[in-house]
Amino acid sequence: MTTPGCPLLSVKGISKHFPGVQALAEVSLELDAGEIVGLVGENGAGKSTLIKTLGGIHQPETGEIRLEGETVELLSVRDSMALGISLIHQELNLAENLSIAENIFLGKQPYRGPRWFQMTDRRVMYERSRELLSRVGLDMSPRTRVQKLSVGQRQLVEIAKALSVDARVLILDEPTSSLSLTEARRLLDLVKTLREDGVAILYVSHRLGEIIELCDRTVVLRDGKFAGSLERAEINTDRIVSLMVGRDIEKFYHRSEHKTSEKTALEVRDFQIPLAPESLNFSIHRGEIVGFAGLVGAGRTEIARALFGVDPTLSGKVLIHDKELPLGNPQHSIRAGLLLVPEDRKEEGLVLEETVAANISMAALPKLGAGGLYNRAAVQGLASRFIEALSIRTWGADQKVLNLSGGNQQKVVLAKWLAMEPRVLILDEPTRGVDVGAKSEIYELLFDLASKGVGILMISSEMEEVIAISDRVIVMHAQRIRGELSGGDITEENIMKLAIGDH
Amino acid sequence: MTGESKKKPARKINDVTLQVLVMLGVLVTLMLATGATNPNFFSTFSLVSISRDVAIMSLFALGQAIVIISGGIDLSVGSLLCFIGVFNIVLLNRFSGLSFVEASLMVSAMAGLIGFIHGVLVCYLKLQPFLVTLCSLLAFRGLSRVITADRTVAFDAKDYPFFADLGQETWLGVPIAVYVLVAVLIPLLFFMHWTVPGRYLYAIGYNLEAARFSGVRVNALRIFSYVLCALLTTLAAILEASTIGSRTPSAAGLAYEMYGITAAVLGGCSLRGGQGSLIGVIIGVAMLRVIRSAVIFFEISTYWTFVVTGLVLLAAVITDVVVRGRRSSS
Repeated sequence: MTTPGCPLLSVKGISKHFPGVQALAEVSLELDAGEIVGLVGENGAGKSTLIKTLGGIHQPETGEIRLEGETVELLSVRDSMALGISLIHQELNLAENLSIAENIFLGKQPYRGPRWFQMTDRRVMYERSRELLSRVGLDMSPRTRVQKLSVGQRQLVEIAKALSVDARVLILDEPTSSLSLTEARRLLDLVKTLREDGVAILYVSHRLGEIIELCDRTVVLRDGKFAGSLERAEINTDRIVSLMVGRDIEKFYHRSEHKTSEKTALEVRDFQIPLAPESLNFSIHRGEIVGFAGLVGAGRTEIARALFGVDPTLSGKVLIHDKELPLGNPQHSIRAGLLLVPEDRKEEGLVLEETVAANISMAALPKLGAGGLYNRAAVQGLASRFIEALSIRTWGADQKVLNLSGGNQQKVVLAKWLAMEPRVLILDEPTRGVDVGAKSEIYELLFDLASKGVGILMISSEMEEVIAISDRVIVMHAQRIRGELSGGDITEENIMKLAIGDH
Repeated sequence: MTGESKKKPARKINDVTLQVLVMLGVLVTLMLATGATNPNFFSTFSLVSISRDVAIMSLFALGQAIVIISGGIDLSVGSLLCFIGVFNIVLLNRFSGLSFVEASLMVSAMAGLIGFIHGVLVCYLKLQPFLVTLCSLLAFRGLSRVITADRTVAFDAKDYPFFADLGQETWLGVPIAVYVLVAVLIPLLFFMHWTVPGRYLYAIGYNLEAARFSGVRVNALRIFSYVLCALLTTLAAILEASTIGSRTPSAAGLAYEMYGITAAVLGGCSLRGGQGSLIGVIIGVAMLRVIRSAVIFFEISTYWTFVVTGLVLLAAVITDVVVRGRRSSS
């Protein structure tokens, strides 16, 4: 099919600017059938703009896109799909109340009957759905409603949907960002199978491990420009990171020698939350970073929420610096210094429509002004102090948080708690959707807090991160603590064994 | 309200302030146009009557706006305004020993309790504010008619001169109701902009969960907003009963909740919560009242009032969307 010497998809010198930003500047890219090309870059580097251009959502101002050597114009999503280019967004777009089959064939259901009285041909629809589901390895009835599926299963439905229109080019945007480890594993295997089937795949991810494993070639973008391209043999974390940030990050997870204190920061005794099979016991020392590992759905988030007091607890005792904490009320937890950086940054961590200053001061506000008065000067002062200390990239304390990148938003959440003198900091997936540069800054911050005696409990599904920064790892499986690892025992294999409930 | 804008000329004025300024411009234009067509519009009688109506309407509209800013809605104000007015008069007529002030305190306490119940149902039973207050809208309209057997009730101005003066008298040519509004507005403005609970109400309106996760006492503040709304409605109820001297249970306060919401939206409130300006609400109320007069003074059939009001609101909402779209992409 492919004209010899001509790549399946080639992008030449495309540029796109949005008011105030040059999102893409003269970017070129080639993608061949049966090839996986990685696309990496910090947030704001232009990855989304590039893939949205290919998906027909944005139109480039200069440059051209060729498919099998022919110049094509992608003016709408429909145009792209008709040419066999499918873009799967990070946030999935499925109609939850419809069945898997109805989602796959949304807008293109097979019909039967005369023209003036067409009815959905369910038999054909289900049959073809079954074929597609078996191709993506999802063993479920096509009649199942999407709302019953896990995020990972939904991702597979999206891919089946793309394959249903014979996608020759598949663009995946952070496909594993909200998947559990096993689901992510399956997805990676599927991507490899699709490569063997001759699909051209553009794979966008922050998870460098996946890029290293999958990609035949990786293109790195920085500030909307082409920063470099690495062939399979050259792809490694250090090289990618240095291309992404434009300088060498010497040691990504660098933590100087440290000792954790004998004293406990947090002690959890017989802690029972609703629907959990048994109560929990664990403790964290002052200055210790404890990784909280497990598969998605192992119950880690639920425990974090109950400890912080936003969800109810059935029974148990929580001690902070050896003092008992009244349960079930975040106000008491905050006063005692037990703070939570929640999983859903945009819904629970931040008031997106408010300014950086308002968010940083959200918890500290009553302390800043006497007698319940709003002290604008103190709020601004607090904000600028933290904007500088955490190098939050914003044009001012009055900028809406909405307009910040994921990493900077997370720093705002952290700043809100740093203003409250933390003793125990619980972080739920703190680096999800955060670019590499901001990630290393967040680690730095955690190391710094630990050195000041704060006990840190970090929930993370990113194995590399858990292994690199934890002094100790608690692994959960099915709402139970399955085991604890420390020192040299903290390995990917050991964590996985415990996480999947292996004995 | 954003006094620091002059220090940083580069900074945009915020969307709500812009909308308030635009509305003020439209209001003034509308007033001048009406006055030019019919000079009676600027007669003392007309101005006193308009300013009194605006003051009374503004009281409950401010209450509604505060509830809307904190992410809720209160549909009960019209019925409650009727019920409080009726009940106050019934109390005075039934118990001759009761003074006006005593009766007013009693109905205020009752209204406060009603607002509190709204808040508790919304916060603790997690009912939708729209439904909770819709029930009150129905129930209090019904109760007003039950306790009066659906007959108009009136009080005797000779027995309760203070009651009568409140709504009818002027001081220095300005209706007493306007002074009441100013006396309420100043502390409310201070509360919303310069106190921590006021700032938190805005935050709760934008994102309840994030406020809760930050340790804000979200339930207490939301309940407070419903209590405040009910109390402001009471004030409006007493003033309106006083102005008219009687209350007809089937008609008093009819559709006022819609006036309040319309005024709040015209004044820059978002029904999604989190934004709005109290000054804007008063301008919104004035818009509605002036439209009513304009329809009369332009000698159009008064049946057109609602049509015009609806179209003005639609125009305001569309302009808002367009302007916001422009501003966010520039």
